[in-house]
Amino acid sequence: MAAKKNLDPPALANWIFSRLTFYEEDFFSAGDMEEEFKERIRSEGVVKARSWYWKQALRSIPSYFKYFIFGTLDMLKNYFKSAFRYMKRDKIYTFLNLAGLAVGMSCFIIIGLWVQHEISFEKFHAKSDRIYRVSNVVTLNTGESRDMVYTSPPIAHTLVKDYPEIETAVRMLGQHGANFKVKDKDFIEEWGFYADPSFFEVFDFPLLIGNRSDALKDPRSIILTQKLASKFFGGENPVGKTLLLNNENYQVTGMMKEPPSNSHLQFQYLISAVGAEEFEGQNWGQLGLYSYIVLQDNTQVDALEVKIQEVNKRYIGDWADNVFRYHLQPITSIHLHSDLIGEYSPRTELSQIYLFSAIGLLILIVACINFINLTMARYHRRLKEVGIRKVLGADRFRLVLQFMCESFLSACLSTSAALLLVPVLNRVFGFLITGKMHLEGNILIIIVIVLAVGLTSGLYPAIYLSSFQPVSLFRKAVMKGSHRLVLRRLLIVFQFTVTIVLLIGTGVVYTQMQFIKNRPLGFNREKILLVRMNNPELRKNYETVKSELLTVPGVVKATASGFAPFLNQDLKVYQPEGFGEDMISVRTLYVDYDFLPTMEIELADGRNFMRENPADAEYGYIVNKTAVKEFGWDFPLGKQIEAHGSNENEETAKGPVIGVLEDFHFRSLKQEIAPLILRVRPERFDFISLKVETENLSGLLSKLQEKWKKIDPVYPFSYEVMEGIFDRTYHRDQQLGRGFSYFSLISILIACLGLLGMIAFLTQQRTKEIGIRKVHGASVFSIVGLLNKEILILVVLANLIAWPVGYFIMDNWLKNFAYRTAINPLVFLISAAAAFIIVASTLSVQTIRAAMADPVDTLRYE
Amino acid sequence: MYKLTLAEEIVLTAILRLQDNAYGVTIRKKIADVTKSDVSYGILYNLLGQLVRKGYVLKKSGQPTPERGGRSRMYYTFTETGLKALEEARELHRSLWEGIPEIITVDS
Repeated sequence: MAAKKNLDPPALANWIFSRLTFYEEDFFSAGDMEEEFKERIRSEGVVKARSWYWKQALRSIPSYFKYFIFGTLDMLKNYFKSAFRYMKRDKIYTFLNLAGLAVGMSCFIIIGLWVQHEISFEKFHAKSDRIYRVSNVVTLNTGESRDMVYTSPPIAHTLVKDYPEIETAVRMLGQHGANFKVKDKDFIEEWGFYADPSFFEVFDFPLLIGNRSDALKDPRSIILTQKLASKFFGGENPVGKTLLLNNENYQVTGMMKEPPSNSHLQFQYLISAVGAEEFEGQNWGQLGLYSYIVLQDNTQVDALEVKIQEVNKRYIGDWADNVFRYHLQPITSIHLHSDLIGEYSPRTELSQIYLFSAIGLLILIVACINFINLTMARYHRRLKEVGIRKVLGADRFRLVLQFMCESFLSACLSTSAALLLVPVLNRVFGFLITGKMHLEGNILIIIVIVLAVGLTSGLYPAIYLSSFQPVSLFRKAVMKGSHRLVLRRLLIVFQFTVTIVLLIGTGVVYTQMQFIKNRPLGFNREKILLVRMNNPELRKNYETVKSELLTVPGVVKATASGFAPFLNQDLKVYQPEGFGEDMISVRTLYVDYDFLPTMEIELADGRNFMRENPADAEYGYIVNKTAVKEFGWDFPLGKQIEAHGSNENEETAKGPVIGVLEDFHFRSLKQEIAPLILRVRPERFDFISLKVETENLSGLLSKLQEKWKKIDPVYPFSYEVMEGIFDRTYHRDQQLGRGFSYFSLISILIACLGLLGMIAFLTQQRTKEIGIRKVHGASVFSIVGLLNKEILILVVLANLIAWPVGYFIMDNWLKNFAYRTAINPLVFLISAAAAFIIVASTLSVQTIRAAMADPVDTLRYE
Repeated sequence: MYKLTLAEEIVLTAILRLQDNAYGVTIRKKIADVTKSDVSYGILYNLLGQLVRKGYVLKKSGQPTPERGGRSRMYYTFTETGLKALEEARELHRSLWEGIPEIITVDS
């Protein structure tokens, strides 16, 4: 017995062979092995033969591995091939499936790109981790403190000189609406900076022509961006050319690319700060410049921030220590975190980023759920295949692998479709991304998304489908238990919850925006043009300018003012009667005699400024009701107010209150109405507001333009529509509103695709039942009801979940507004109704067809 | 140009030498005789599979025999392409070595 056993090949080595066997070649190889083994027993003896056999087995392992890998690849190829066949066979399902996934994916990608853009701010500077902005907390003598970005001229270079940790610094001053004259052509350009020559040492804005180190060295040198240069000089090389800026000569010393959209510094030109008077002063109290510093590597920022406070005592005096505090803000944090006075460009709130990211992710999940539901809906077509594969010896792992292959294939295809869709959708989503998109850098991330989507959407169907026993597969009534559908039902509920929350969001944002539009502001913002008076000469003769403009037919009223509603208002320091030594800073508008009638602002008490009464212009005050409350006055008329000049040039003025205004919203509705003081100060007037008839606005504008040439030969006509300024105040909220509406549309679309699949499955499953019911006299209507009932119940459930969630989120959003609507219950009802109608119409197509079908056919369908 | 690898060439010549009796055991032995090295069956079948896929040889199953535990032999025979490829390899060797004297000295 033992001898017989020795004559067989060693069992363990044999087992190795059998494990590694994949192909028929190996099968024969085992045969060859055995034959030679037996021969060797005869010629060399059992022991040697056995060791030979072992050696052969072990030496084979590497090459078998090679087979294994090739074999698996081969198998995958086969799987992909059959996956393609399935896709081709069910074209409509495949389309629904891929379309849903592709749309969801492209939303996700777009939002992802946007988020990436928003968090990438300033990262393109090589020194971005070392660049800090110096900001300033100024404590006024009223005890209030203001957190602002403005700093004084001397601070930047003093810091570089006194602290070796600071490598270099640059100071900048924003310029707005400058007047260019190139070859006798006028241009008004919105944004530019004065900057120190060290600008390019600190920042990495790309300079196309010119020398980074000395382009800004000489006074009166200017660098233009590419766009501006081609606007001014056509295709010619601008460097070396001269132009007139605000009537002074400048030489172009460089051309640069447009600043990347992910920088908070956006500008069209840079002017050398050398020789500019705003930069020359040594006045530590003259705040107006932006200061950026670059730290040495490994500097302790917190410690440095404490140390730099010493400059107050060293250069200004002990008193300054309580007035100025300096902060160092990392430049990379400005876009998302900084909201100081004088901020150069609007920030994106972190909450907005979180909200949109969540929406993007949810939509992707909804799309995956869709995929699962659709795959499961046609699983019965695959069951026989699964059975046959199992009978033929496929193990469960292989089956799972096969189905995963299919879902990965779908993920790949739909991602490719999504990448094509992204630029198209981006037009729709233009409100979100304005800059260029950088898909190229994200290939790795996209691959990860494909894998993640393939895995999440494929795993459940794969495991579910592969779990069937072949025997039961060939029996009838395989899928009786409806409990198996629980997960799918939950998924549908989830889908619709997301959709309904988005719908509610859309509704709430819409009603709030309507509320803002329709809320009486206390003045009439319609049909008002704001014309900018850039020329200081005009301010003295503002009455002439006004009467000139009034001669243009279509102009009804005109008024001059300094600052304007919705734009900035000056904050000035006052000492109202009864305050003793205390002071308070109050927003101030400088207006002329016609301001109240032009803006249609109501007086609650007292009178308007009067031309006949010169004292009004010198020291008369009109305050709003909120100011009266703030000052604690019962009878405001005649009370004295003393204005304090913030610098030496301004005299202090003390005078009586002559009128009280009804409160009007001179700022965004996000803010409470603040105290406001009106004064007459012609030297501060920089706008003329015109009340116009808008029937023929373009005609009127061209006439105004002509007129303006006569009034002001130097500065061209520049105007804004009050309505436009008003809308801009809510830009971010409108962005959110549009985001909600688009994304809710998309999520409805995707969810409906999923429903189509689900209902097709449900009706197919009940074909026989429907047939029998019809034979017994059921009406089409009752059968449609029967089929729809189930899913409509799910939608009801989704509503019940979505309502509180939506309420909670939107209630939070509304808290941004000082003046807001209550959340209208109608919004919830309409969202629910919309969901129901869409669902019902989606379902009905399928169910009515099923219900109309001839029972003879349905009962025979097997 | 077929460009056989050396390993392929060795297996093909072995099959050619064996004529009608080329199957796993004999091919392996032939290779061992000619090259004086012991090739494992794993590697051998890797190569044979490769040659079959490239269409140089055909395989044909024989009768099952008891020595092989009831498994049948797999015989390998040449195809036209296989012969051409081998012929080409021979030409290549000839022209490669043409004119080179038997003893090669290397100047140092």
